[in-house]
Amino acid sequence: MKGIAPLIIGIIIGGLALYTIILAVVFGRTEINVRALVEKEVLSAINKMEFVKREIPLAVRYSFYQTSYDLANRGGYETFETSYNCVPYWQVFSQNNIPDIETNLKNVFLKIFSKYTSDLSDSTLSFPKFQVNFDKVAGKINVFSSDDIVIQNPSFYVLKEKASFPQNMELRIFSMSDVGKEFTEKLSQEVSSQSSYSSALQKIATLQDDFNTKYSGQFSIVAQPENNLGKDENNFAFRTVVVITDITDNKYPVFDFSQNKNVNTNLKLNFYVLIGKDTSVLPQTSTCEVIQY
Amino acid sequence: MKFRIGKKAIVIVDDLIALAILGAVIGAIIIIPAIALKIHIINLIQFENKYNTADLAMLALLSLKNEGKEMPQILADYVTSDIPSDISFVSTDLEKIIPSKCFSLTTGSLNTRAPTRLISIKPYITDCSPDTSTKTKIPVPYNPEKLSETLELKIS
Repeated sequence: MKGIAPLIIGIIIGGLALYTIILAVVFGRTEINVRALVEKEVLSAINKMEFVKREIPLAVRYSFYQTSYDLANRGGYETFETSYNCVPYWQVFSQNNIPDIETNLKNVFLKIFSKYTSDLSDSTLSFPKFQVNFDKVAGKINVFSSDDIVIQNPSFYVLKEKASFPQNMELRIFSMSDVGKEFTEKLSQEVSSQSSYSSALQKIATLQDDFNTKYSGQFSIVAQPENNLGKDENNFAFRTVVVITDITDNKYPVFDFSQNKNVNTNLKLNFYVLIGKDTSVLPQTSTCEVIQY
Repeated sequence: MKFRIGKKAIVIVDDLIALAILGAVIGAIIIIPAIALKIHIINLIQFENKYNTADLAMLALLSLKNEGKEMPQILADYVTSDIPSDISFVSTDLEKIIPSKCFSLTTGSLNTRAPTRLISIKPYITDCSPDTSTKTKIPVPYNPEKLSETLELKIS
């Protein structure tokens, strides 16, 4: 024992010291733990961005449904001056007030869509200001922004993704609006030139039948003329409410503000025309509140 | 019978014991940190992997389609309709995605429009406590009071 005992004791003490240093180095290196935490956070952020990319197209779809429904119910207008019961006049004798559907759709769509993005965003996820384009011919809607969608944790990472969400969708409101324009032009040209109120009513019925045949399976067109407001049978003027209904299987899940509940329904485009020979008749109007999204 | 062990023999035995201890100490110094490091790294990887599993399963689910309809829309329609349609295929899809004996997918909130609904569970074991879970929001048809529902996937 005398020979190697001191050496062994020395080695053991030295070994324990070295052991302590190794363990301290291995487990004391906080960068390993920090790295694991950062990796977890980065993975989480990447996954979150992937969730967003799957959720936004649905928000685009529902925003478009709601926009189309509200605008169609209000004759293509978001706000208007000449309307009755929130239904606008598209034609008042020779004056044409057909709305710019595309511009109005963009305005209302972006309001609703920004509500969705606000709802989805949180302390780490932020959305840019979006723009929208409609391709009526190809049936496409593209929601995009020049800025990125950002997920960030300032102390760890900043993750950016291009904000562009093109989608194929049937943009039925545009074709409804085109049918409405065509019908209004026909009414304006052919009904006003009739010799009497009764012949004007017959002309409207004929036009309605013609349009229903032409757009069979697509749209139903109903024109309901009201009483003659003109001076007499020959010097007539009357208001007609026109309702164009999408009769395809395209039912939209939307919120109906008048019923204050969600419904699953077809689009209906409503508008008035005031036509005839007695142009002294004024359109009956009432105020209409703007929908607050 | 008596044994007599000389001093020299005792020194030799002591030296052998000391050498064995020395060998064990040196071995321990080399092996224990290596094992400890390995366990530590495995734990970290498992921690990250476990955390990621629910997210990846949810992403895989949301990427699926059924009869041309995307999964987020199927789930949104399901949670907002008054009479929910049959979406048992979601369970079948989840069973393919999640290699686990137990999971649950729920959605909804305290909002009366869409109370909490259990979409899928496998199998129905009440003591199936989740190891990992993830939540995400899915947009639902416009309603001034609610624009999204929370979807939660728990995996055991």
